[in-house]
Amino acid sequence: MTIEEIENILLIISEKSNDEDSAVAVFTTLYHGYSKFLNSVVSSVLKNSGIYDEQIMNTVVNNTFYKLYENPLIFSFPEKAVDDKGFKAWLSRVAKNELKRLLAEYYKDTVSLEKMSSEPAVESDELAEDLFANANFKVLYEVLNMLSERDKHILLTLYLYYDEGKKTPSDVLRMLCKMYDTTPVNIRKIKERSEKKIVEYFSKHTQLTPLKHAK
Amino acid sequence: MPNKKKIIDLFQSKGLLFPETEKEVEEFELFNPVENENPADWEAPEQIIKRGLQKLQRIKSASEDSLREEIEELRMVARKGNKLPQHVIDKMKAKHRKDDK
Repeated sequence: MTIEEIENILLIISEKSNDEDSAVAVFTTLYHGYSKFLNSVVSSVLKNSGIYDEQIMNTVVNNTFYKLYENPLIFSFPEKAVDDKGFKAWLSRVAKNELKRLLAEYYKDTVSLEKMSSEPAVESDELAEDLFANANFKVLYEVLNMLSERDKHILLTLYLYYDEGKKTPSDVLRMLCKMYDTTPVNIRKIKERSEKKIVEYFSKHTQLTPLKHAK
Repeated sequence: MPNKKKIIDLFQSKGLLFPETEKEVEEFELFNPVENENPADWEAPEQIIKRGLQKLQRIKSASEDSLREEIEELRMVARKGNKLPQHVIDKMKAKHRKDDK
């Protein structure tokens, strides 16, 4: 869809209290335009995090589109936008936050996942820029498949909650402990071990040398 | 641009996590062709509006699937009173080796 088409649709949806039929009609058009993309994103992330099933995927997609219908003008294109990729990125960010909220709600015996605790941050190791630029999708898949399913899922779930410069919510660790019947110490060890393996794999399978691990 | 990037940035930039920028959407679409299968509410998207926000009913982890598969294999062996077949032993050993590394 063009930027103008999306903007018109969002505007019509925002007037739903005056003209519900038109709002529903354009919502349908928008859903047909972007639900396959969103399905594909959510399905891919859930599979990588080891919690894929259709019920979770459908719930995340349902809630993302519902939130868009409820509050359509929260999104706006940046001035220099040339296509709809910014809208897709925004949909994906809404879906990411919705997945995190749903998981927090599901594991509701833990306190809010948004609450920052005094847990030290689960940091991510650094790579040299040239290696970063040359790593391709195929190598990343090979690297992920080298890890056990459990370790891959734990690493990618930690990445889902990673927020630059912020501490890791202890609730995320507790959620992972519950999911995988393990301890926070072990979760951290698994993450460190997995990133170490990734760096080693890159150093063996490229001509480039990774930097030392950042602590 | 900083001269060092983190592993997570690499996964993010190649679309292995939720793409959050235009560039990441581009990478994601490059390697993840949109599936032909229609999403759940394709025939009636208005159901989303009627339904409202939904909750997760249950979370089934992949490790749960794998464990169930192993239990089922062992049950079959036990029912028949046979020795464990080599492929089951190999699979268990390989899994333990992988988890212990």
